[in-house]
Amino acid sequence: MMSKEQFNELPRPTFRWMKVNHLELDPLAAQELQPVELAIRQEGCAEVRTYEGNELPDLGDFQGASEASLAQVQKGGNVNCSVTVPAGEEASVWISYTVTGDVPLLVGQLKLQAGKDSRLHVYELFDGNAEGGLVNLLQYVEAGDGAQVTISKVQIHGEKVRHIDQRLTREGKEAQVKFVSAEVGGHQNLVYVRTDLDHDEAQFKSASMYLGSDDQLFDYSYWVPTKGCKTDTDILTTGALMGTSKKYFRGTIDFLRGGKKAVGNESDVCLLLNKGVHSISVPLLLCKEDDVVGNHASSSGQIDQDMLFYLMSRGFNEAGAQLIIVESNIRPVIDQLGDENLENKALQAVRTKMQFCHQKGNCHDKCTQRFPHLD
Amino acid sequence: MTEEKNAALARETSADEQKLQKERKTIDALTDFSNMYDFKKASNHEYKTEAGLTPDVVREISAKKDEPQWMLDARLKSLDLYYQIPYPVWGPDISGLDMANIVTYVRPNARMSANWNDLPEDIKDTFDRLGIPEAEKTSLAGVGAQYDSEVVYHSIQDELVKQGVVYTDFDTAVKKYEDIVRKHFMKLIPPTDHKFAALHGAVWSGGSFVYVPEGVDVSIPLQSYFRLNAPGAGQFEHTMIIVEKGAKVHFIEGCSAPKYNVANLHAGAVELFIGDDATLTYSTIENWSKNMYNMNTKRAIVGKNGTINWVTGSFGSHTSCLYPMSILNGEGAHCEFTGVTFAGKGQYLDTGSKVVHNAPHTTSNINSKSISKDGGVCIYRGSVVINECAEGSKSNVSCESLMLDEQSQSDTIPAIVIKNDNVDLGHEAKIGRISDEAIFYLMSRGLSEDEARAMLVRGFVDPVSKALPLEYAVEMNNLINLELKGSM
Repeated sequence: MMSKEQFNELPRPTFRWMKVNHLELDPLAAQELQPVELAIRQEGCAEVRTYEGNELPDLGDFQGASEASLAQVQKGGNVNCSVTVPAGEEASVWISYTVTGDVPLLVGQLKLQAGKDSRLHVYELFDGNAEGGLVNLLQYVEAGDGAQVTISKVQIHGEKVRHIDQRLTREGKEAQVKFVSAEVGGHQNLVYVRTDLDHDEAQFKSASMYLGSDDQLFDYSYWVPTKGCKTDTDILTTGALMGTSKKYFRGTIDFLRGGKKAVGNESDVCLLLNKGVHSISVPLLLCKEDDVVGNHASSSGQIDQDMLFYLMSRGFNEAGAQLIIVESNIRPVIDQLGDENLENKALQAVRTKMQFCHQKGNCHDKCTQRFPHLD
Repeated sequence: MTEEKNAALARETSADEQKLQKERKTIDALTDFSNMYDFKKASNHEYKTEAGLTPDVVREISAKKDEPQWMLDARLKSLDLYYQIPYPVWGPDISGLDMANIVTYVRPNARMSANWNDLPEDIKDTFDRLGIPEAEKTSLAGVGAQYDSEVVYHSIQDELVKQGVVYTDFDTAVKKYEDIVRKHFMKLIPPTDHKFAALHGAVWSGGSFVYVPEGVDVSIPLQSYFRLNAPGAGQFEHTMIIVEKGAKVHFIEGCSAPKYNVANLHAGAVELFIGDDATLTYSTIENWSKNMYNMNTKRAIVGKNGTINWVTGSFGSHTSCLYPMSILNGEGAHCEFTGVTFAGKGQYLDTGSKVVHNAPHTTSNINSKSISKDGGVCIYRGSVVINECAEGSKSNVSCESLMLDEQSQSDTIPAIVIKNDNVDLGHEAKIGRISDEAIFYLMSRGLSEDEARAMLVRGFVDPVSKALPLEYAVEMNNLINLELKGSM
């Protein structure tokens, strides 16, 4: 029997019986990588090129989503790409990663290097579906002093794809890195983010939304060691779960000694829409420095019934009212994507998914249970 | 004449000053709690086992206690498990603890009595200095006192005995209430749970047994105090409390030990069975010495509409792993956890709370506060599990950590697992230090910086103080003052 692969290891493990220290999944059957041409568009001053082999620098103690998945992307892949923005310049790059029956495996590296005081915005679209589909991408971000890098991502794969997104970020002084992600598709979605704030006044912001249905899995893992002074970390994941979907949130803000006046916030919000859903949250604050402010918050629950009732009293049916509430919860993230096309794709995917679930009748029982007089 | 008058005045003034100084010394002596817990008595034991852990040691303990065969069998089974189970990998470093050097059983030179005067002078003096007999007179309905491995004093008010309340040492309970004990012993904390639970199952000794019959309200608290005097020894007391339907009781647990240069170990077990509509408040002021490894396990199971209230103050020990667990098994069961942990120099206190919601409409409220100072390490490690069957359950978790200097460390490691859509869960945690503005304000009102800090720390732990009876709140404040002075 093949042993399970462990993903998203918690940097500080806790009780074993909780089974939250990592996620175990069956390894996917080995398949051969097919060549693929990435759809890339760019604006502004950036050198964008694809490459073969490994061009990443030494990753230090970066452990990646799992040992095997990190090794796989370091071997090289079929979607390796490098984007370099010179100091003081500005650029936007659009990249689409599409899984197809002919190319079910997309494995590779995305190396982003932003010079001093430069601006880089990368827009990523992940879509397509294939039996045994796998996307395994390591995104390496190097933001020079004062540079601003934003990655906006929409992931709307089909239900057969395993999506692994590993990110290592190194920031210079006063650099700002922002991740905005909308994860709607895929079967098993694993996000592993490590951001080193080694320099003063570096900022890291991450806003992610998810919408789970059927037996979908979302596993988010963040680890932000803050060594520089006056660094600012803000991590938000928000979303909703339907069917028997599962969400893991493992967020670790690690205030290291010397990182004075650092601020760190992490927040995990989850709307629970069906009986069989699982929401697991492990928000860690590790603190070796006294002159910091660290907060985390986590909340899970059903849709507020008063809100639902109000909307239904204004003429919406339950499905419509639920959609409005879920959308209001995730919209602040989608609005930050910064690209109308991506925003529309994310919203369309959310609406289609919720409608589809309602058509399947998942919500009808609950509707009549709550408001029998309206049935 | 004037010179004589002046000389007389000077003499008077000097006499006044001397009197004042004397009074100050008296007041200082009366309010100096630094030696209240850390005083040693010569180890005057009747018997003790060899250091280390072998089947022979376990058989010896059982034989000395003249136990029934089933208990010896349970001990040996636990010992087997102890050998098999590895040390946990997620917790603090316990490499300084070598079981080969720990003496697991030390019988003091005293038989259990219900009269303090029957005890040998050194043991009586120990509990006098800890204020136990005085507290018994003023504010307790029953007292148990354990010295090293055995309970030396136990008493309970006649009024409670007439109502059917049982409060006795655990060794007596094993014989006198064998059926009840056998039914419940190590059922909530099975020896398979973890290495120290297995260790406890093998070498447990002493502890308390409380049984509160249906509908009885024990309005005045019961207290058990555990004192470990022998260097290099372990204390493994077993506490079992059964609160029947609609009954109510408040149990207070206190513990301390003098400081030695060798490691001591505490691996007690507390099993609490709370019936339908019953309420148990379990308060602990833990002040083990700073050479102690505190690996205690506490667990409660709560019936329909029952309530468990945990109030804990953790101040002592070198290393602690303590996570009282509540299993809310009956519909509408409730858990309230209020705890404060204060880690000073050289301390690594890994504490928290675990709650499992196993029935509909169960609720839990966890409020944890921690303070780290002089390089002390405070970890909040908690868990909340809301299972599929716990429809309509609610849980609220709040952790606040205060760092008093830049050498200290404070981590929060909560884990929340929800397997049900119809729940309401809120969790928040904050880490920070005392605000400079607050100190400045208090200093502008005439307080010194140290006084201002002490006042703010006392304010920070106020919710825990409020949950304790007055005498224990005072003791806790004294412990905080001692920690702030760094004199413990």
